[in-house]
Amino acid sequence: MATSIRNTKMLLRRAFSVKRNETLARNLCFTRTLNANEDQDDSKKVVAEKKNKAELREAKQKEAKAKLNMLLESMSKTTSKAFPSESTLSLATPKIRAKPAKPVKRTAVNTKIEPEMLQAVEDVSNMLSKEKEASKNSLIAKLEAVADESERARLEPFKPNKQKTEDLNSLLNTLKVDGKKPKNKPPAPKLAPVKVEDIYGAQPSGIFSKAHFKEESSAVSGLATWDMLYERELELAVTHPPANGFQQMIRWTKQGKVWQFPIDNEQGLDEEAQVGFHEHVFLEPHLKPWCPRRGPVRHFMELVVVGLSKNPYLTVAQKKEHINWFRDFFEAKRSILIDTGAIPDITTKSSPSIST
Amino acid sequence: MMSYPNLNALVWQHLFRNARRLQSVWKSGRPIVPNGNSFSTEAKEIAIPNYIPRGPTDILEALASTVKRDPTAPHYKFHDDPYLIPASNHAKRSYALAQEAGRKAANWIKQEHAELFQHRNAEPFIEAFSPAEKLAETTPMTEDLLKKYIHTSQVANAIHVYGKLDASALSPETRQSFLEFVAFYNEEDQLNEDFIEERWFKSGMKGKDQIRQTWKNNGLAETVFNSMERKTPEAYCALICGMARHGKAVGAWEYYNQMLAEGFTPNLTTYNSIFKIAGIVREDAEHQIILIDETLRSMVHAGIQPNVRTLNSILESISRIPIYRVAREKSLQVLSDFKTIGVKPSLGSYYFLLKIFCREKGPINNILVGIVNRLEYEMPPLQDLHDVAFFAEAMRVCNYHLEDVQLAKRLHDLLCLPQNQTLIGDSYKESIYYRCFLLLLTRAEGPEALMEMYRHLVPNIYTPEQNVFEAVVKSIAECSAVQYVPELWSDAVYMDMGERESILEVLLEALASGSGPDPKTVSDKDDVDPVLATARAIIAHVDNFLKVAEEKDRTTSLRWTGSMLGNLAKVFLQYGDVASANGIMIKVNTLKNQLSSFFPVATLNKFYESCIERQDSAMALMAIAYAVEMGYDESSSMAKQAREQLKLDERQQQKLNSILGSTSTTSEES
Repeated sequence: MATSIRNTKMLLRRAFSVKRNETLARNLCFTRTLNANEDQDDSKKVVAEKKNKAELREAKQKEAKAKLNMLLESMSKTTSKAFPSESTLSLATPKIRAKPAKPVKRTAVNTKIEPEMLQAVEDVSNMLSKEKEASKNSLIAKLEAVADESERARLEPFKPNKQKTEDLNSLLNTLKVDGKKPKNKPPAPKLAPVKVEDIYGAQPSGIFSKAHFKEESSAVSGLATWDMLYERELELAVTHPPANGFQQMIRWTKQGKVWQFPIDNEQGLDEEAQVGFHEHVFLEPHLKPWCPRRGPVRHFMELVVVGLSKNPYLTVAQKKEHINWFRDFFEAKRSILIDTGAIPDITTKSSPSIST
Repeated sequence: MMSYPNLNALVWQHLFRNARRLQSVWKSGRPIVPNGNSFSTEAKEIAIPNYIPRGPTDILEALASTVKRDPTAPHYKFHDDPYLIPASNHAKRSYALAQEAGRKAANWIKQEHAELFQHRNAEPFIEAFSPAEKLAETTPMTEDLLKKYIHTSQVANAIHVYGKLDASALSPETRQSFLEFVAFYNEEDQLNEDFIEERWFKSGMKGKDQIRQTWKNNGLAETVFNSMERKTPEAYCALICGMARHGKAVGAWEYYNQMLAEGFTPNLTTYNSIFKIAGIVREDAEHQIILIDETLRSMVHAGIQPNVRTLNSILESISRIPIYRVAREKSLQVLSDFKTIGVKPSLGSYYFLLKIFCREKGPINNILVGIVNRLEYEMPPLQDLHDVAFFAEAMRVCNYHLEDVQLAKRLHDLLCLPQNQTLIGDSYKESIYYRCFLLLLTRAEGPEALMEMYRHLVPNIYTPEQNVFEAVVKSIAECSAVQYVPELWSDAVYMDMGERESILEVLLEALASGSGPDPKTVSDKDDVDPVLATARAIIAHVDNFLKVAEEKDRTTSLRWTGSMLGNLAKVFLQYGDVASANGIMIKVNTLKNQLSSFFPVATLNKFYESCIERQDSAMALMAIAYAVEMGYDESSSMAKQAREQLKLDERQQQKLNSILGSTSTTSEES
C-alpha cells in the first residue's frame, strides 16, 4: 500500500515537473524516438500501480484519487488562464505536425496517445476483467485530456507561475509518504528548439555588392603603434596564470629569462657568431710577418699560439692583441736577444721578419 | 628530377649493405625477413620530410599540451602543500595575491637597490633580471629612450621623457607614435606585465557595457595634436580612436567631421571607432542605423575592406538599440552583408549577438544553439578584445534565458578544449560562468549527475558562492539524496561556509529529508551511519564555534535556531540516537526564547512519543514544558498522555502541575 501511494506521488511529481518543463506531455504522447524506452518503463509502472490499486483500502484510494484529480483539474484550469496566448515570439511556435493517423491494431481509438501507452491501458483493463470497456475508456479519456492540455501548454511560451507552484507544493506536501522518496529527478528539461535561429537568416542589403577593395587597404595610413598596442592588449587578455610548469617556462622564455629550446649554447652570442671557427684556431699566420723561423723565440711563440687556440674564453681580437704584445716585447728586447744568440744576427742576411 | 626519389633509394642501398632489412624495419616498425627475388623491384622511395622551422617555445607548447587539467589538484600557482591549498574564494584570492606581493617586493628591492644588481656574469646578458634604468636629472633624454618606453608600454616614463625633450626637434614618426601611444592608454600608467595575478583578479573591466567617459579633456594627447603644425590624417585618426576608446564620443565625432572637411580619408581603425560610437552621437535607432549604413558606404567608396572588428563594432552599437525587433533585423542583415565579403564572425560578434537576441524580459530566442553548432564545427581565432567575454555570457544565457542543460554541457565541452581554456577572460567572468553552470545543473539534473559535475568542479576549479552552494544542497534535499549530505557538509567546512546560518539551515534540512537508516544494509555495530555522524559533527562544530566566539569576545551572527535543532532531533530520532536527541531537547530548553524560530511541533511530538515509549519522564516533562511555553495546542493532550502512560513520582507530578499551571487545570475541569 505504501508503495502505491508513493507511486501516486511520483506520478504527481512527474506531472508537476511537466508543468514546468513540458516534458511529460512529450514523454507520453509525442517523443517516439528519444524516450521510447522510458515510456515503456513508465507504462509498466502504471500497470503495476493499477494492480496494486485494486488491493487498496477504500479510504486511501479515494484520497489519492481525489488529489490526483484535483491536481489535474487545477492544471487544466490554470493553464488556459495563466498563459496568455499572445506571443511576440513567432519563432518559438512550432508547426503542429499533422500526425499520420496510425491505426492501432486492436483499438483504433485515437491517435493522440502513443501505441505503447495504449497497450498498457489495454493490459490494465484486461486485469480488471469486470467493466473492462468502461475502465479502458475512462483511462483513455484521462490520458487524452492530459495530452490535449500539454499540447496546448507546449505551444504557449513557458512562464513559471509562482502562485501555482506554491499551490502544487502545498498539495504535494500534504501527501504522506511512508517509504523513501524517489531518488531520481525527472529527466533534464529539454526545450528542444523548434527552429534554430540562423545567424545568416537575413537577406544581405547588398551594400558591398559592387565594392572593390584595395589589396593593402588595411596597411594604408595605418596606425602602427596603435595596432601594436592593441595586439599587446589582446595577448594580455588571454595570458592567464600558468596552469603547469611548461606554461611557466613558456612565459619565462618569452621574457628572455631562460634558455630557448632547442638548447643552443651559442644563443645570444651574436658578435661571436660573426667570427669563424678557423680564426680562433689557426693563429700561426699572425706569427708569419715577424717571428723568426726557428730558434727559442719561435718555439716559445708556437707554444703561445697553441695555448691561445685552445682558449675558449678570449675573442679573436683579444688573441691577436696577445700575440702583438709579445711581438712588441721581443722587439724591445731585440739587442739582448741578438747578443745571446736567441735570434740570429741577420743584419747581414736581413731576416724579413723582425726588422720590418 | 623525376628519378630523384629512386636515386635516393639507391644511395640508401649503397650506404647500407643490408639496406633491404633496414628499410623494412623503418617502414613497418618491425623487421621483415626479405625473400631474395623481390630485392630490386621493391626498392621503395624514401621521402625525407621538409625541415620545419621551430620557434623557441614550440617544444614547450607541445609538452604543455600533454598536461591536462587535473580537477583533483589545486591550481599550479598554489604551493603543493596540503596546509597551503586554498578552498574558499577568499583564500584563493589572498594566497595568489600574496605570492604576487612577494614578486612585487622583490621587484621593489631590485629597483631601490639597483647598485647591488649590476653584475653581468650571465652571457648572454638577461635584460629582464637587471634593474630598469632610473630616470634621473642627469639621464640624457633622447628620442631613442622615448621610443624604447613606447615599445615597452611604460606610459609615465614616456610622458616624462617627452616633457623633457624639445617636441619640435622630434621626428614626425616619433611624434605620431607618441600621439597614438598617449591616446591609446589615455595617459594612464599600465600594470606591469609580470603581475599576472593582479590582472587576473582585477574585476572584468574590458567587457563592461556602459561607456564611461574617461578621456582626459585637454590632456596630453590633444596638446600633442595641437602642437603639430601640419595635421596629418594619421594624427586625426589617432585622436579619434583614442577619444572613441575612452568614451568621449562627441569629441571623436567632431574631429571626424573636421577630418572629412579637410578632405582626408579615415583609415580602418578610425571607421571602426566611429561605428562604436554611432549609438551615442545619434539618439534614436533609426538615425543610428542610417549613420552606420552611410559610414559603410563611405568605406566602400574609399575601397577600405572592413574586418571582423568592424563587424563587432557595428554589432556593439546595435546591441544598445533598445527596440528588440529593429536590433534583431539589423544585426542579421549586417551579418549577411559581411558574409558576402568573406568576413567571418569572431567570438566577440557572437557575444554581441547574444546581447541583442537574448535580453532580460525579452522573448526567448535560441540563437545560441546555432552559434554553438558553428563553434563545434570551427572555432574562430582570437581577434577582438570582446572575444573573451563570450563564454560567460553564453553560459548566462543558457542558465537564465534558455534553461537548456544539454546546450550548457556542449558549451562547457567547448571551453574545456585545451586551446579554448584561455578564452574564459578573467576570474570575474570565470566565476559568472561556473555559477550559471552549476545553478542550471541544480535545477535540471538528478542528484547523481549533479554531484558528478560538482565533484569535478569544486573546489579546485571553482568555489561556489553561498547562494550557489545553498542551491546545490536544496536540490539534493528535494530528491532526499541524503547520502550526499555528509560530503557537502565537509565541503562547506572546507570552503569556510560551515559557520553561515543559512548554509547550516539548508544542510540540516537536507539531512533530515531522509527516511532513517536503510534496514537492508547490515552495518557493523561500531560503524556509525555517515548521516548520523554528520549530524553529530555539525552540533560539535557549531557548539565549538560559539564557544570560541564567546571566549574571545567575538561577535558572530551564528545562532542556533529552532528549525536547525528540530532537524537535528529528527535525524537523531530516525537513527535511534536517544542520548543525542535528549541533548538537543536540553539545548532547546536552555535557549528557549533565544531561538529565532520555533522547534517544529511535529518533531516535538515524535520526541515526546519516544520518551513515553522508553518511560523517560524527565525528558517528557521537558518537552511538555517547551510546548506549554510556546503555546502549542498539543500541550494539553501531551500532559494528559503523561498522566496516563508515564509513571511519575511525586516531585515530577508537582512539576507537571507547576508547568501546566492554569492551562491544565482549566482543561481538566472542562
